[in-house]
Amino acid sequence: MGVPCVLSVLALLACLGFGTEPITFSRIWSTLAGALLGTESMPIGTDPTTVILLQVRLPRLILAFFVGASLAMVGVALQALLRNPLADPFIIGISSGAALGAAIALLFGVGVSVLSVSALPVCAFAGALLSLVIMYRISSVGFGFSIYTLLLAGVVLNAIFSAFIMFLTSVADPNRAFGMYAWLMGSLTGPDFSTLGVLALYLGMGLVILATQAQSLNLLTLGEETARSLGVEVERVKKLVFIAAALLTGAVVSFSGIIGFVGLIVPHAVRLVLSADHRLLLPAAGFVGGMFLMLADTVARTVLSPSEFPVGVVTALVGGPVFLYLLTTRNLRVGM
Amino acid sequence: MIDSRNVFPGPAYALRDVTFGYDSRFRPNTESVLKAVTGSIDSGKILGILGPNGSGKSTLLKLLARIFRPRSGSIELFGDPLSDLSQTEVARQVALVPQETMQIFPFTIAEMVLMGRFPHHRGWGWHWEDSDDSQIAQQAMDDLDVTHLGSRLVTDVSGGERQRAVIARALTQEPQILLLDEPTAFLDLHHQLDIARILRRLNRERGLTVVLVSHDLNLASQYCDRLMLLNHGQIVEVGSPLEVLRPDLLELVYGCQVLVDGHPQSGLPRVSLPM
Repeated sequence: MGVPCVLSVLALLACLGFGTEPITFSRIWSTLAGALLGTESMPIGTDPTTVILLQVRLPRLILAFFVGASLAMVGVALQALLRNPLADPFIIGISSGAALGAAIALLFGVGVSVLSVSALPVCAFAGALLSLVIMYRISSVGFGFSIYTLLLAGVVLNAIFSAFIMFLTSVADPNRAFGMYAWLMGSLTGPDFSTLGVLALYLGMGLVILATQAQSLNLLTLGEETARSLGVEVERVKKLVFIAAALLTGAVVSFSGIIGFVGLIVPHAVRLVLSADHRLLLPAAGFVGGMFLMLADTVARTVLSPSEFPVGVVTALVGGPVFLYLLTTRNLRVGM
Repeated sequence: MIDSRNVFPGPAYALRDVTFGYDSRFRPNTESVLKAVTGSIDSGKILGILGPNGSGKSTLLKLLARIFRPRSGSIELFGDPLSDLSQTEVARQVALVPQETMQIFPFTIAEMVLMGRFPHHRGWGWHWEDSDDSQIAQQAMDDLDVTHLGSRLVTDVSGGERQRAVIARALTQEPQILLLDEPTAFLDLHHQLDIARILRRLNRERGLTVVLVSHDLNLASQYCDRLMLLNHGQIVEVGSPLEVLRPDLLELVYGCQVLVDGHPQSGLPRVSLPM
């Protein structure tokens, strides 16, 4: 686990340097060290480079890391639970369920805070949980268990939720609707550290739950009946994993919109290189997913610099082809 | 290893009026697959459960492993009602070898076998196996001759090798009772014989109670101490192979003519189809 951790820090340092205003590595180092150790007194707002680093790029990269890590770990958990290597919160419609919840909150102004916690992630959580339950019911009805049934159901679920979101945006007032569009495309712009704190709270809850279920997820890949015969309380594990996946997806979507394919490609790559054991896979996929999205976001904001495009564009352009490759290769072979 | 359960005076399982149907939210009140099954399964013996397709054999096995719960009636495991035991408590005493093992993720054979230690772990999930666990898994892999496959992927070995690895995983649970659903269904003759001999050795040397579901009447005749013949979810006959594999009974249950003579070595019943 040390390797992905170190790589993540290196990726963070590298990504900090790129942008409209390139910043040298030594400058990044001294600024970060100064901020962390408090040796440099911090009159933030005086030096533009320090402001760009600490108040623009650093929070944005941390957000990217949180979002990427969460999406990758949700992907890992859903893939084990549904025994489907193509399960990804975006592809099977969990993200759009969360987006619908968030859209309802935004447009009807439920977004005002309840107990100083924004209701937005709560509504997104509810939407994600709803679509997870629908998806699970669909996948467990009928004979056999088809990888393709799940994908088709995901396409349709996505279409239904998107239709609801479109409807809501059409009836909303145009100013709000424009903000909605930008957010739906998946964007990581403009977080501050208090936003990150709230996000970290949700992610922490989801992570703790998933971590306790890592070994049960290993056994669930053998099938629910076999897992039960090995002593797994399958119903309890499923509920816990659903709640964790909905917490993570809901929080991520409400802060950064819909970013696809991270939960698909990252777990697949980590399984190939490291292990399928969820006690290793979950944390490693988290680090790699975080790293991946930091890099993807850096690409998104530097390629057309000074303008930028949504990070979801980058993940879809990388993830889409990978998905098609997986769909057409023997990687879906089911060992009997 | 001395097994306190082996001195339990009664049967391994006692079933009373067990009825079960595959109800779901979408299809409630389906026809019962098992109808008021009453009987017992002796400890330390090999029992073969036979019967035509759809007679409820696999279902009965899954009820014994507590994967399903009966609609009505009771099942006792060594005198304890199965419904009072947790899934983990059952898994410490009963291991199931399912008919097919699905795996789409790249787990190795050694990792899969080690999963058999799960019911013996306590606490909150983030548990790593210790050297005792590895030793138990290693012993099971040696017994089933799959040690050399340890680092291969579950998806990359042959059906026979995977079946042996799954039995090794079941033994890693250190069960008193081993349940097997058609353990030889997809295997060639050589591997069928292998599995049958391994099961008999485990039974004779360690007192392991074995319950297996099979379509192979001849293999069951040779290797089982007792047979249970099911039809339409009910027990038709229980007894020794000689008592159960009678032409009249088999014709009644399977609905076709059969010939029964003696095995050239053992003299036990041998069932053949007519020309």
